[in-house]
Amino acid sequence: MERQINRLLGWVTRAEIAVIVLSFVAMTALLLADIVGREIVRQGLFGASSYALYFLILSAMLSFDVAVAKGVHLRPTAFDGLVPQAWAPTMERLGHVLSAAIAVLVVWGAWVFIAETRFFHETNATIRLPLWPMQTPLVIGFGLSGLRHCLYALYPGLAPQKPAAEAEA
Amino acid sequence: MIALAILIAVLALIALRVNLVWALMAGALMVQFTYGAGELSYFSQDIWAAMDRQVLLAIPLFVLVGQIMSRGSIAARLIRVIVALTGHLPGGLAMATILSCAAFSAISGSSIITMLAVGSVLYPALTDNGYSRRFAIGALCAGGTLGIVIPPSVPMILYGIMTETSIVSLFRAGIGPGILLTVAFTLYAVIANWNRPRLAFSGAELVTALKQGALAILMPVILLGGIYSGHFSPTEAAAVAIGYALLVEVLIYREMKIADYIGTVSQSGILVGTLFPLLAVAMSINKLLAEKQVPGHLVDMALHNVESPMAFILIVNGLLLLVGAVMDTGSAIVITAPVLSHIAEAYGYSPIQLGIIMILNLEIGILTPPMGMNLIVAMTAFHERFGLIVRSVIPWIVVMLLCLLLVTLVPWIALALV
Repeated sequence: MERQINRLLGWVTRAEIAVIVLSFVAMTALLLADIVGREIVRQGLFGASSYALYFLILSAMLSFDVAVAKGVHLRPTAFDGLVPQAWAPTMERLGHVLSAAIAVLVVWGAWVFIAETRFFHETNATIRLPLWPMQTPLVIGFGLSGLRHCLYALYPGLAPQKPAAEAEA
Repeated sequence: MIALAILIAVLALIALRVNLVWALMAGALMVQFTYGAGELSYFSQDIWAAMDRQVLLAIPLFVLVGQIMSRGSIAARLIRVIVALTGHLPGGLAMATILSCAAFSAISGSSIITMLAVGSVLYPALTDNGYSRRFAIGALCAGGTLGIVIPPSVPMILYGIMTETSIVSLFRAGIGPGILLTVAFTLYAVIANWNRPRLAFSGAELVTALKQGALAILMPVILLGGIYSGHFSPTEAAAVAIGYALLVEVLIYREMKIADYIGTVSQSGILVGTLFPLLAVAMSINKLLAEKQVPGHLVDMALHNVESPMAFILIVNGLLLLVGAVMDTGSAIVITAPVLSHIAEAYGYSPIQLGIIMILNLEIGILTPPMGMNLIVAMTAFHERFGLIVRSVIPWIVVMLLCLLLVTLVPWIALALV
């Protein structure tokens, strides 16, 4: 079971990285097209930076989960010495449970917020697109991260190991 | 009292091994429940408002520019030109190390990328030419920190966003301190290595290096020239720089593979993923604090207890040095900048001047344990013991503290070009 979940999480991470890479490409291409158009034919690409920003938000939220998968979110270790070293595995597990619990609250809040945006038909003032699809990465990014923490709490072996450098520092 | 309880709850979560970003989110939710309307969705609304800002586009783009150039050959070609120019002088390779870091900093906005890009070429060259490993690592770790002082600088963009200060003005203010640090580092590097063997000067090598590096040299000219001439915004300049770097790497130098491009983008993406939610949470908390006039109360409290502006700025320096030692640069800026800039203004320090002072302090933090990022990365990159790396940066930190003191006491250094 643990191996299958590990494989599934690996696929999710790879899919996220693929979307992040494509988003970055789209973001850069949009901005460049806008500048080149403006400088050469005196006509920029309408709404380019708005679209680029939404690609950035999508990649940022997916990257949030990738950062959880790689274990690179900052965790101050100043208080780690307060409990015996033998308790470390239990404490790490507790950390994942608490992170998942916070994620549930955050995802719920994001869900309600997006539902309200959709209900009131809010749109981007420049490109006139409805905002709620642009906001869904909030739920996806925080939701996937919460799910990951949940799985790490259930199967601690799946959690990313702290880089050796950080551990020694 | 409630605020203290929330702070203790956040610290308790950190003690229970929750990542900083989740602990801060929990804190923000508690703040919303207590001081706000008690709606969870308001927190998401704040996060969205913080992320839905086009100026944020500059951050991943500048990180990506640095990554592309360090993985490709632009960095190596820039360094070759500098080595050809300075290698024959006393302490020539040491000087070349600092000047290469400074040149690369004018393209990259990050300290780690600068250190790795220059270190991958010059660390072996330094040790092969009789420089001690201790000196070589110290020079690269310290030189790498120029990446966040010399514009473009990702921390300056972050500071500008958090305090609503002009990013172009911050970039201009970074030029003076950047030059000061480069000169101070170079002087130290030359004096410490006056008797080291020098490389022979070769006019042919210089001409070849200049020919092969001409396109690489143009990079900072286009990037910074575009921003300072007002032709591009910082975000547009970063996009142009990426376009130019890709054009040069793909069509002319042809040394990067598809896998390298994917690697650079995913690395930049991960940085965005760690930074943006933190930034959004900090902005959410700051917004509520501003609504409750907390910065105003803090200003009153500071003015009541510390009368002298000089004493205030020295206390701020001490505080930021401490913060920089225990927190990464991005987190430190998003958490401290909004409140400190309010208080500093009451003492007559402009947000731009405070921004530069903050960046210089946090630059030193990059070299101080336990969260000295350049030290941690250098340990892995150069395969050295952490103890040696920490000892290697001590003289450089002294040089940086002297420069920090100068910039604090002589505002002109930062503000002359603003």
